[in-house]
Amino acid sequence: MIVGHVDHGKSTLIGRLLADTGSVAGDRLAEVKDQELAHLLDHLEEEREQGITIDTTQTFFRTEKREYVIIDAPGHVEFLKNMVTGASQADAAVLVVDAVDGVREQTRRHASVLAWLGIDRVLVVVNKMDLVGYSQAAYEKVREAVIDHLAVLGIKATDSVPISAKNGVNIIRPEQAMSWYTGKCLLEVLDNFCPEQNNAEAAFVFPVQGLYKGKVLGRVCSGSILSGDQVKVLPAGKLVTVRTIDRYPEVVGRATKGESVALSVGPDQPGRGAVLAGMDSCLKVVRKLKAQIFWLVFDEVGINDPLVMRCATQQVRCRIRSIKSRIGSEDLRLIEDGKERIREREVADVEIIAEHGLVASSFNDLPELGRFVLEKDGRVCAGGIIQ
Amino acid sequence: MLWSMGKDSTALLWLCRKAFQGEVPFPVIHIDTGRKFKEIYEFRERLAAEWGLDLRVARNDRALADGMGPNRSKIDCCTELKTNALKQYLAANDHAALLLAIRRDEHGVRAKERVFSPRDQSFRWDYKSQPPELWDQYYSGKRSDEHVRVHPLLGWREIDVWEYVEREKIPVVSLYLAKNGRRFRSIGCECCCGSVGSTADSIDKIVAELKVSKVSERSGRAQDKESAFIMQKLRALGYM
Repeated sequence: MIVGHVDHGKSTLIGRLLADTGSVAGDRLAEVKDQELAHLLDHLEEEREQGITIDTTQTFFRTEKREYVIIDAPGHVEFLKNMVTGASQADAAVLVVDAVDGVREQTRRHASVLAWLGIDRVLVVVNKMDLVGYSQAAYEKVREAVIDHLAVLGIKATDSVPISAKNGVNIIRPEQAMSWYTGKCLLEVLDNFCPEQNNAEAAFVFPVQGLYKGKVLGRVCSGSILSGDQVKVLPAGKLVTVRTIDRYPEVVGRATKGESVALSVGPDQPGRGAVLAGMDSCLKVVRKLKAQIFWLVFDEVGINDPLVMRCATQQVRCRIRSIKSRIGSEDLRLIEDGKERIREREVADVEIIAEHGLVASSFNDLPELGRFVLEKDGRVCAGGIIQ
Repeated sequence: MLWSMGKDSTALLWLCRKAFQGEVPFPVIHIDTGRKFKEIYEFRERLAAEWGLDLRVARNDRALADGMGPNRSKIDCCTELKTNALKQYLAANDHAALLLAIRRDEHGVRAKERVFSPRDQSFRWDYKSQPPELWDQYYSGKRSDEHVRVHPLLGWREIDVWEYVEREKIPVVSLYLAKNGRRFRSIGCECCCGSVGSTADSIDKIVAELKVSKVSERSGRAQDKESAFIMQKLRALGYM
């Protein structure tokens, strides 16, 4: 995910990465002029005319080491919900900061989103080094300001790189212009990001997507299952036996994390919203939970307003029982004018009470059951992370 | 589900069959412009019978009788024979959701889509104000929606589809395979699809070819070229 303030060069950087790694088809590259690499990403007429990114995009490129999906983020505050949409899919982030302009409102706000989402692999990129004469002092000044801000959010930047996206400096190869810089170029740092490790020892967890012709359908989100295993059906707590595991057209003996399968279980047949859990799982059924929510829409929310929570395949009516604190996502300032309502772009620590018990985990233990969205009047208004 | 018999929607159909244990428990709709390659029609009939599909063919017969074709204007032709054919079909058949096999890497405007994307009464795509879509929690729908478009393959690339076709041994229309040094990378109406030079006459050769190709997939597609934003305009009107 490429994030940062408006006009700090996010789209240009992506265009540069695509062009310099040979990932753009020749006929598409010819469509845009070299000075307007950003146009490779901004495809809506309004985006090109106004020179802004409205909505998030995903694009693809590969290096010798791996394949990338690059997620573009709009830098304008009014498109923050689109930025959060993109960021929720990311494993790692590149925070782009202008060497002249320094840390700005959306630099800080985007960093807040990364912290809230638990994205802790963050590469700081100081762009437009050409405009400061490739000066080491200018780089260090901006770099320190960004690193300090990230530290306040509890993020330790993985690395930092000075670049010029426009001129292609320090992107895929080190550059003469900055002989003082002895670190890696941008692509090298990205290639060294390690993917998350799968924990093979984790307990089996399977949120049920639906029941179809006597088969329980879903995707294993943790651990693994063997046919013949006994599992708990949550939140009810009954025990069932997994008789067969189908991965149509094959019948398999085992399913592991990430696989979508159809289980035949008995004696009960759990439907959508149930969670199958291994006997060794310590997943809890809760009615009250503490979470940090990010309010994404203009309409405010108040204590006890009727909401719907969706967590994995579970759906339950709920309300906010109390608001512990509200923080502005831009400056991280505590908002002191009351604990009754939450407004757009605020991050709030809240206690939520659900109409009935649901299966939940802390986000750190099991992300799939540790995050949720809140709907108000059928519209997604917020995302939440369970602490 | 919309099925064009192309590789993407055939791969999606295969995924649906896998999810529902060998069945496709909903109608499969072909938007027929009457101008598809004959190989496409043959493929449709063969697979519909083999897989026991509830196949529905949607055509804008009035526009066809009126002589609508690409010689008038490509945007009008696509709108009448595709978008309006779908509108007429949906007016007569009530569906809450439509599954479509579009992919982000096909076209920049499609890259802006959500996995679950609402359409209003006039089929409008409100691309300036799309609902947030966090993790795998998708838009769940409102009563005022005409329908919700669901795009399960949005994050797949062209090569991912071909690798999946190869792994799962999914049947594809023969036009994709090279004959006399040419093949189609994207298929649709005979009048508006161009072939590309290629010697890939098997699925594994297509995969190998795409690993080094520098030409975009839809470069043979006329409707993408007429003007830079024609695809955006078509999609805003309800085009697939």
